[in-house]
Amino acid sequence: MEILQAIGAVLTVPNLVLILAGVIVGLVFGAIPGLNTPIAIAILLPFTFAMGVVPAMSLLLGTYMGGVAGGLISAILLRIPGTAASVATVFDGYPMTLNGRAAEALSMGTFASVFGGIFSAIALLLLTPVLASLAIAFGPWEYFGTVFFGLSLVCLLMRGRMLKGFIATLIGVLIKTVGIDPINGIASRFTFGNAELDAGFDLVVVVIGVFALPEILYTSGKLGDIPTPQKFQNKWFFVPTLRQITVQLGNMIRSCVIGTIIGILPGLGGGPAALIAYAQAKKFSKHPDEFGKGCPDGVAASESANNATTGGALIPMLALGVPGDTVTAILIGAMAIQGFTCGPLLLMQEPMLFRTLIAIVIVANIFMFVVQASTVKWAAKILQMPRYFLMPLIAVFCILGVISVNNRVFDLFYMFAFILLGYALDKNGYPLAPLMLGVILGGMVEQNLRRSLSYYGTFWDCLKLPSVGTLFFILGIVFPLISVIGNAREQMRLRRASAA
Amino acid sequence: MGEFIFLSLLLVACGVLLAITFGFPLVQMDLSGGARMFPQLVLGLLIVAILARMVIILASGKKEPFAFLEIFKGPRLFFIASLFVSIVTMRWLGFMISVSAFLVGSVNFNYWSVKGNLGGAKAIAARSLPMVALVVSLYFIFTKALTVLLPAGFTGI
Repeated sequence: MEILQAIGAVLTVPNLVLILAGVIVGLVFGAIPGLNTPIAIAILLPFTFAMGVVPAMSLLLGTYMGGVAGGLISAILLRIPGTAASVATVFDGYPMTLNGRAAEALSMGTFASVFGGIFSAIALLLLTPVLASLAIAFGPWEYFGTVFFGLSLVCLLMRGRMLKGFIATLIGVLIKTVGIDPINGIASRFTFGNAELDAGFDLVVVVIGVFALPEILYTSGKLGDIPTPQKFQNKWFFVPTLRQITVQLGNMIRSCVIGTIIGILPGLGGGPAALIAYAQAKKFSKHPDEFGKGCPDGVAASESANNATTGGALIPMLALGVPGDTVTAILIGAMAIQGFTCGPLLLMQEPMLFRTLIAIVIVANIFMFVVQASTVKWAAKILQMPRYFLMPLIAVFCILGVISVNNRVFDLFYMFAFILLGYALDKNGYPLAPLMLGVILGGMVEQNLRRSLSYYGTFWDCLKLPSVGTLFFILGIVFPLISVIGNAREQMRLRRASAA
Repeated sequence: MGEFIFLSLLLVACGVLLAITFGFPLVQMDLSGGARMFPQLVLGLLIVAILARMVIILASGKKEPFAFLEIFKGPRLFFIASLFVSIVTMRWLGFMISVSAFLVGSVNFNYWSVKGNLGGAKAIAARSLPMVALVVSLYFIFTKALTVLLPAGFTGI
């Protein structure tokens, strides 16, 4: 009942206008590569100084929800993940566009986004005290085990191409080792004396270099080809049919659970959540061969998981005052400016405010759904632009996005190297999904492994720990082995069948 | 053979990087295995995987074309070369000039490659001027509203 009271408190015209404005700004920043939610929130933060806590958080949380969901439009239509959280959406969203099913992909992605967002808000309401204590119990070894297990799930993304996928994963992990050593902070690795490489390669630049621009480069060679016509019904509000939703329900719930749990763990965020949920969706699917070729299950899994991280990330922020990422760090600052300190006392002393924040998350997700579902047709107009005009224009947005990340031209140079790498890998049949998983998780694997070694002694000492970390590490070894054996059996069966 | 050449280049790069890792300084207080441990582990695994893949390619005896080379032909070459020139000249010419030149050049080249002609001077101007206006607008939106530092170049704008 208290949550209904909280929703009632949010449902005032000024608050609704602020949530809507935040959602729209977030969607725009999420859709443009290079621009992201932290930038949007940082720009909007000064506007909140003169507001009360509820209007201020309405604007900022609206931006947060919109920003995470915004990446799906460019990921599905153009193969450009606006944010790292949308990388997994590309795998099936873009093939669906190529098959003339852009509207279906966008409407499924939009619905999965709101489903994930509201699911995580409910988790935030019910599980905050319990899940927050879970997050605080995670040490480096537990993190290492979890992230290593996440990385091992990559084997599900490379059926029939195990060795190629393994090479791509290792290249991704290697990319993440460039820069100053994250543990001792002294050794400069693979920087060749260039101080601009000390911070390593930025994830957004790698995503644009590996995914977006190679696709534009490839399309430049076939501009004369007529693009696949898109099937768009004459309506203004695009939602999946009840049957499509029912089919995806189990997939979305599983992905939401993954997203919420990963969201709670500081430092992981939407990218790994979406990739792991995607891998799991493929594992449990009745038609895994369709993944990567335009399967709506992949879009639903990715979008519900990455939006579910938003509520998850708010759990340690509100319950413990621990920011899991840049956005929640800024939100803690915004709350402090308003005179509220995030942490256990907030739940005890300001229970109504806590519920109001959850209500804002729910309302923001509904607004995000309405805005996205009603703009699907307009967004898809992009595909009707002549390709000779569209391709260079996207390249310009990619350039802008890359410069915006660190305010420097240098990032464009290594982006260029990643275009060549991405193109070469793609044309030689190497899957790019494992490479991205390697880039996203590689740094976390190294940092937590080395922290564990510093803390516990040897690797053997770590393995002897009776903890979740050990369990996940063992699963991370066993899982790929089972996949390799299964893959080898399938290859043998196919060979026998073709010989017969 | 294309993949074999690609893997050979990758193998050489891995060898060079592995040699470089031995130069990473070791810090006495660092009990985590040191800066070189993790890259050496990754590079070692990568070299083994690349060699395994090369053996498989040689054993299969398939001769596939080097698909990567298509990047150096026709419109793709123009796109990649103009993008490279735009990036290299951006610090000196500034964002507005180098990106406008890239956009105008690419759009008109692409139009020509699709239609077989550029149309008249008016058609070229009708395609090019909106592109320049767009780049100028983007420049001011990003620098003034979003406080992104885009290179100004010699013009200082």
